[in-house]
Amino acid sequence: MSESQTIETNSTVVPTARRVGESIVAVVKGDVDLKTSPMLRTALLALIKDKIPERLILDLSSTSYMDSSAIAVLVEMLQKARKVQGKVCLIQLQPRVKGLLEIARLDSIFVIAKDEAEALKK
Amino acid sequence: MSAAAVKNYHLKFDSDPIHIKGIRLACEELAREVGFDDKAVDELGLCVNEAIANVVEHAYNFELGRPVEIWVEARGDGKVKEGELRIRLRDWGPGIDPSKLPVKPKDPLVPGGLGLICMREMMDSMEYAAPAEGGMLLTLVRRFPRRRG
Repeated sequence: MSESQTIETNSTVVPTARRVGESIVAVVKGDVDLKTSPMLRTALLALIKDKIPERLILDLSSTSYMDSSAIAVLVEMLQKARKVQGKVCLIQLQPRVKGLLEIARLDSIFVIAKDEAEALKK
Repeated sequence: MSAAAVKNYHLKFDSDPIHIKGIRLACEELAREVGFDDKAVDELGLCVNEAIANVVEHAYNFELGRPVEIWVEARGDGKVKEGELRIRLRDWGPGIDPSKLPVKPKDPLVPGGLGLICMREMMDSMEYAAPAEGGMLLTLVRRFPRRRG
């Protein structure tokens, strides 16, 4: 497995992030709704500001709830990634988040993986 | 409904997204208390969240300090197999009925409209009314067992 390099985030919604090879793995923490989705957007845009990674892997194990404003942020990241043939991978999805992605018909558009190791292979 | 308790709450708050989570959690707790199952509780919470978010975003265009009121009324006693939860949400925005806007084919990659889709799919009824004093009154009803299709 590639070495990982910590990236400073200064964000409570994305408290930790690492570069792993050509991918970025970011942990999203807490409920994401209209109050916190602008913070998620700011943090993710900062992570991809210099270079959009091959894979932006979002670890959602600590996010049990998202609303449509959070989904809009994820879609924005996906659109940016697609412009450079990149991917947005969502790992460790919690049931409520998975359900909302299904309603939004996005469950087959994002790369969904069990964990980081699986996402790095997709 | 004689055997079933009726629980209500009524809140006045301002159009700040900071209030959404607390109101969602209170609604979920009420729904759980009166006997809705976990899936229904989750869906009710999401719909309340989306309804308030629509007010903040569309009725008030993210302007803070504008008035919002919510009434939540639940009927049930945690044992009965029938009951309902009714949510009414009042704003004093421009009075546009989102459900009457032209329905665009839903492209998953174009954000917007997901809140309305959730409310339509997860609630048994969703009605917007325009009170004479202005703004909108949204009424959402969820029954259990749910009446489908």
